[in-house]
Amino acid sequence: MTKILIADDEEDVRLMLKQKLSNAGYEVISVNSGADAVVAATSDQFDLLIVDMLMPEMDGIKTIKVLRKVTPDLPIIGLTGYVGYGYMSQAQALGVITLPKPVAISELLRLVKQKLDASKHQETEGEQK
Amino acid sequence: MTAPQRIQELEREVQSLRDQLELSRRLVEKYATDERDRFVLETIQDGVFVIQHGAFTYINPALARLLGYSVGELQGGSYLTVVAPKDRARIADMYQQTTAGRDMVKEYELSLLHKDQQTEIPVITHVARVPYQGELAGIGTIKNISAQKSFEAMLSRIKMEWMSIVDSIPELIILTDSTGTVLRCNMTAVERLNLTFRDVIGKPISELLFDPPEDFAYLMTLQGEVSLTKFTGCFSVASYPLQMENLLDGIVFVLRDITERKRIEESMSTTQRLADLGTLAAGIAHELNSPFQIITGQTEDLLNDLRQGTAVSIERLLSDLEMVHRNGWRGAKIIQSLLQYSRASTGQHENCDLNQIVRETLLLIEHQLRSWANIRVVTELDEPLPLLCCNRNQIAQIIINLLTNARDAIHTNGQIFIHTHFNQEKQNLVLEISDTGSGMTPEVRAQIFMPFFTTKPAGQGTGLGLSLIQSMVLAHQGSIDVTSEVGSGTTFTIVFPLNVPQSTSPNGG
Repeated sequence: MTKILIADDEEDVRLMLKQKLSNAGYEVISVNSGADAVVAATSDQFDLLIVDMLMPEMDGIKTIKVLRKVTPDLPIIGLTGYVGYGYMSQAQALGVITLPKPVAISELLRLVKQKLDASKHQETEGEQK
Repeated sequence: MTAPQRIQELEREVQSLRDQLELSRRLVEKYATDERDRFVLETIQDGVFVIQHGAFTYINPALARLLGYSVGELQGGSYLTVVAPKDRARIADMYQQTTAGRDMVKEYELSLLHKDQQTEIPVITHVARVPYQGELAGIGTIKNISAQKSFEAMLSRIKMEWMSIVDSIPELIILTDSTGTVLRCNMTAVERLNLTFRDVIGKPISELLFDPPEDFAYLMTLQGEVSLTKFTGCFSVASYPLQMENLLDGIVFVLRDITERKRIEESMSTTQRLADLGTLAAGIAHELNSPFQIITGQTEDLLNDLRQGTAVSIERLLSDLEMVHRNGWRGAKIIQSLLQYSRASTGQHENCDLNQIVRETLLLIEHQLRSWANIRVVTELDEPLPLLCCNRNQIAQIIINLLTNARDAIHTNGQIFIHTHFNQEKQNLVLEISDTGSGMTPEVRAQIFMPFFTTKPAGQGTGLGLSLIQSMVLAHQGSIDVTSEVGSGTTFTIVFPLNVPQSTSPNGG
């Protein structure tokens, strides 16, 4: 089963996303900080990370930077309520697409699927080589 | 020669010797006197002269030296040759009068001409008409007053300089006596009053500034920003007592037109508000987008299922709708805080007793505090306090917000102290709220007044409380200060100045 990690400091957002992604057939683990996301991603195998940008202490950008080093193949989608404050472009520079909050669930699910498909395709290519 | 003849002869000889002796004595005496006089005349630094028939019959070396001549060169010459051309006619006229008339010692100021025919030397002369060697003569002294003259010129130049400085500065400067009658003022004052110096001097100052005139005693108490009824705009007034060795006992008033500065300050404050608004907008975006994410996400999913005829369980409906409901209110609460924030600098000011506001506010949130049974609120209110001109609701809001923060900082047991105090010397009221709670690190303390900064868990604090308090304190021209130590608690000290001029609210109401 495809496993998705969610990192957001807001409980209701975590609950809602977990519910929607579970309904779509994914196995979902959620954590409430960037540091916990790094711990989870390095101790378990995940297919995708959805990370909020503005979190206390270790924000989304820092989390992405760390994970790019330790789990370079993990696909990441960013979320932010702080549009226009550089998070989207900073994440983009790290190869991460960031969606503005509020995001339509259908849009999020479409991007999740697209990311997972691309990642699977790369894996198969890698195996063929 | 008979004996008596011999005696007579001897007596005549003795008499003759006596006469010769007396003559010698007189000669010696006279010679000594002349020597002394000459010594004195030729040593003193003042000039001495004798004029007869319009010519010098005597001049002393000091006078010759002053004029650049030798004594011989001047002796016998016309006195007019050493008088500066500009003074010749006047002096010649005076000489005529002196020779023709009275014996009194006369004093003149004039300029003498140096031998170089260029340099003029200002002098003062005392001349008397006295008999000398059988004839009348003008005898006098000459004193060089160049140093005195140049000192006087310097003083007058300095006086002019200061006068033009005082006249050119843009403040109205008015000097009055101790009863408020104008003694002097600068050009700016005359121009701004649209009067002449003649109209201003001698008038009561209060009549010049106020219509109808105010009490002078009232005028003396004015400080800072005031509006003067004779002028449009806003002035800052300062008065200083003036004392000069008991010669002058007066008051200097300095009035500055600050209308333009106020206008700039107001536009600056608008700019600041716009900048704050930017920070606020960013905060609002973050704060509101999360509840919106939940509301749109939950409803989108439910709508899809309902449209497609998918069965939706009551449990799911309940839990999804509860989340939507909760987050809808959360958004509304943020907007409410925001409105309060934007209202912080408006509202009515009235004279209030700070202690009464503290007591009323405590009553208002007593039930809230009671639900935290482990917190004891201790009040120490100095009585009586002078009345504070303030917006009662804002002060209450400040107290509520600080008490709420103090309450949240106390995790198990603790105390909250509310202390009011009147500082007579600085003429201000101090409101101090401290707690024995968890305290703050210096990093947190540095950020607490920023809008949307919060240490509370997401969804519990809007991060606007302290920022709001600061706005409200500033609206009262007060100041807020915080000291804190991790583990021992936090103290907020708010100072409200008492003599705040009643101006319109900064944002125009």
